[in-house]
Amino acid sequence: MGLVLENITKIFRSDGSDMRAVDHIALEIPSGALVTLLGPSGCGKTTTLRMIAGFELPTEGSVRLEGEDITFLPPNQRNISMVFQSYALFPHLSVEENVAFGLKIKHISRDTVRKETREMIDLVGLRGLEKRRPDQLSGGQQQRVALARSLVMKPKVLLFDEPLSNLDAKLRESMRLEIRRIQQETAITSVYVTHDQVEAMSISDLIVIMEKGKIMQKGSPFEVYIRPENAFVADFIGKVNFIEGVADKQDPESGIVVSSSLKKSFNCRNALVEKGRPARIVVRPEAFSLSNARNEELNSIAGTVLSYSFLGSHLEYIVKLPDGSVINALEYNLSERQLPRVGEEKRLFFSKENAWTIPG
Amino acid sequence: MFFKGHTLTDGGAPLRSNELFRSLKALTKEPFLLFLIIGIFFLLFLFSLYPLIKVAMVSFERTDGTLGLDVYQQTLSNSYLRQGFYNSLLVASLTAIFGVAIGYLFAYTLNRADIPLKRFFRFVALMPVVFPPFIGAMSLIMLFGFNGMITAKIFGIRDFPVYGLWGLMMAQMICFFPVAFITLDGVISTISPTLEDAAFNLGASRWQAFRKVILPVSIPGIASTLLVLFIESLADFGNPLILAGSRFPVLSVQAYLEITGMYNLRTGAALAVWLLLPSILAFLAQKYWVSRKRYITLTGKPTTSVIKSVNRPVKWCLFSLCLLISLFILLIYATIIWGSFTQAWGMSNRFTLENFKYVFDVGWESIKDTLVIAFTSTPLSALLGMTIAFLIVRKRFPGKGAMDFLSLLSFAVPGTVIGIGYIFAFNTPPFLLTGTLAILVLNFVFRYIPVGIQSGIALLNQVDPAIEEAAFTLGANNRTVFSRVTLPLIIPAFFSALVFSFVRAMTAISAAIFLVSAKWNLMTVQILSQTDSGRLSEACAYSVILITIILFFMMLLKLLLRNKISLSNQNYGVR
Repeated sequence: MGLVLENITKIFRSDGSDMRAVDHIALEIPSGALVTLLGPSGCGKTTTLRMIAGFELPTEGSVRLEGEDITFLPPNQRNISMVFQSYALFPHLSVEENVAFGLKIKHISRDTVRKETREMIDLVGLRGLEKRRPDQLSGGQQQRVALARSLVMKPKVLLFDEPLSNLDAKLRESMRLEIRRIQQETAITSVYVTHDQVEAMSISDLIVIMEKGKIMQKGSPFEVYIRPENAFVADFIGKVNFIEGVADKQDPESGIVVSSSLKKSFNCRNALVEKGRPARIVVRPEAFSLSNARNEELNSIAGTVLSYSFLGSHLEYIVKLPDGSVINALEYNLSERQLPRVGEEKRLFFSKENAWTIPG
Repeated sequence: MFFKGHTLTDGGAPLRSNELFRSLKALTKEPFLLFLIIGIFFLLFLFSLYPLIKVAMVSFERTDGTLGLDVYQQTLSNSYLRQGFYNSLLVASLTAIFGVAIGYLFAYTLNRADIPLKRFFRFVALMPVVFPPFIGAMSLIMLFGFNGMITAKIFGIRDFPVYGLWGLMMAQMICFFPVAFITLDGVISTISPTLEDAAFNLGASRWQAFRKVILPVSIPGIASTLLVLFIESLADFGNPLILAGSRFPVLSVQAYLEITGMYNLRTGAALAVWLLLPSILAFLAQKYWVSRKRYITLTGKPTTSVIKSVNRPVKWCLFSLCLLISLFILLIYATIIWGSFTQAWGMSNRFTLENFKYVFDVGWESIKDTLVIAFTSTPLSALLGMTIAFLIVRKRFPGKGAMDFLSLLSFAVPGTVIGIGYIFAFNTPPFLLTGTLAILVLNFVFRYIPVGIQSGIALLNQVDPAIEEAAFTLGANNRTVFSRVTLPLIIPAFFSALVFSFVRAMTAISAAIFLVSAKWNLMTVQILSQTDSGRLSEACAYSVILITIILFFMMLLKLLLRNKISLSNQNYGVR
């Protein structure tokens, strides 16, 4: 195992009120993987990252790197580099000097420093800008310098603290791909903090979803989207509809949840909720179809169209169910070539494969 | 149930000793940092706190070796000493109120009225900062004293009451109102004009906008400045020594006279404690109460609103007031220069250069000493200030609050008290320093670090901490981060600390007067003693030379650092 967090907790104390920023986080990060800490602001993801970096001392627990306890080591003795949201370039040094900063401290021969600096500047595509100062670079270029400056140290772990949130949307997408490319080429164990779920989905080997200092779920992007373990994760990753009910049968392939308010039972995949316990069926908007099919495997609900938006490739419906709850559904392949009417009756279908169940 | 709030707080309390242990354990991995923290604590304790403890100890100790508070009763029952306490507080309060009023007048007028001569006003308001603090008193005597140029020569008045409350207050106001101006200028210039626009838009008149918006928003700044001026005035020594006389005793001078004149150490120590108490109270109020109540009104968006706070009559009214005060200040300083070229001020006003020859003949040693002391203490003070600022803003360690407090404490302690403390504390082995260069240098270093610390803290708070954190993750240790990253980024604060402590070291008097010796003497002490013996022209010549030296080195530093400063003025790294 590369990096291991053993039950780390961070409590910030200020004038009598304690704030538990991180609450017993246990996490193992395999060597060479890119793990994302994802969560809303204030969930403790940045504090966790800063404990790994050595900027915060955990109130409890320990941090291990390749078997060694590094909890009490200062940041400069950990061989862990960090890329900051604000880039944090040394404003008084040129691009070249910024990248060479860490190498020079190591007292490596000048030639090696020059060679490695140049290679790294090439890798991030900044050749020709070596002599510029940070304030003469664009945001994207600055973040490349920050990346090069960290990579050149060949750190055991590379940390990213929301590295793209100061960039505009387009640049964010291309930088995302580039960070992933370079990370895979260099195979450096990386921990990436973001609040942007799309960024997390596209870049990660493993996503750790956090809320109020605790881990809500960890898994591959696929797992956390398809098989969320709780309402928070289901809601945080992508758009979601919940159908409330009581579990009638616990079975990962063919479970049953009964909704008393809709007076219906639904077929679903229920791996988590025991019979008789409150349950929620998770159905993504794109899992609905508005067809007339009659199929044993399909669940159906009738509702009235409250409103809709036409978005070119698809229609986005808001449908009101008989019990007053509201469903968000998408319709692609608009075969009718005709828009619905508000107030119109529609029947929504979803397959049991697309109906995942979590505790209610 | 009753202890709900305490017992159920997430199990936080039992962890605390464990947390202390953990943070100490982390510190042991950074021996240099640990060493630095312990070293600074030791120095602060020895040179800032220990002398004060020593003052209290001396005041408690009876001649037979027992301890007691009887000397405080004695000082209270002595009506002359009681009067001194009362006078000190009275002058300090009045100086604070009037000084702030004038400072606010200047700050408001320069920021909110479209008047000519703004640069001139700003120059005049900042001028007293680089002058020895008691020059106002000298000049007032030359203008309004028994042989005063204005009172005696023009109006024929011989007994104009320049000695006493009003003269002293006037001298202190000239000396301290720049402090008020600088702070209040900072406050008012950051109040966005859009705030007034909003008030006008809601139907307020100009007066209402000032009364209901600008004034309330600047109240915390005013309160803080009042306390600072109160402390400065209490601590003032040079002006009362010249102006107060025996008719109007104040504590700082009384304490000095008890110790050096009558060799009455216990009474002197007790008076020092009486002087210390109100200063410390004002300091605590300033640091822990008033300074937390700042309003932040400046938003990131630049405002382009045209200033329209005052109408024409008010504008010219403010202008005239500022002009009047500025001219008066200029007159004060012009008098000193004029005086330095006269044969004997008040008796014979014939032009001469004799005074300067006299200063160079008799006072050459003191000029040299002053420079040696200033040049040794200034860089030490600035560097120590930056280091402490770095530790306080960027590092977390047990006792940080105590370090912050200790290092700023010397600002609140009147020079007289610290001077007395130094002679008590360092006249026996192992710290036998009396009469040496070291005692003066150490005194100056620790007295003037607060300014370095504060400008360091202010600038560091604007530098993104991630820049230093990045250096740490790249393998730099504390020393490397401080010297290669932090210091280059806060170099403007370093140089402003350098300039300030240089000026202060050159013009210091209140503590220094206790520490000078035949071997190491200061120009300021010479000026005071010349004034005391009525040789005003010679005192003026000394002052002119002193001011010339200060201005020369300030210019020189500015020239030498032009490139450096302009580089750092790009404000890079500043959020």
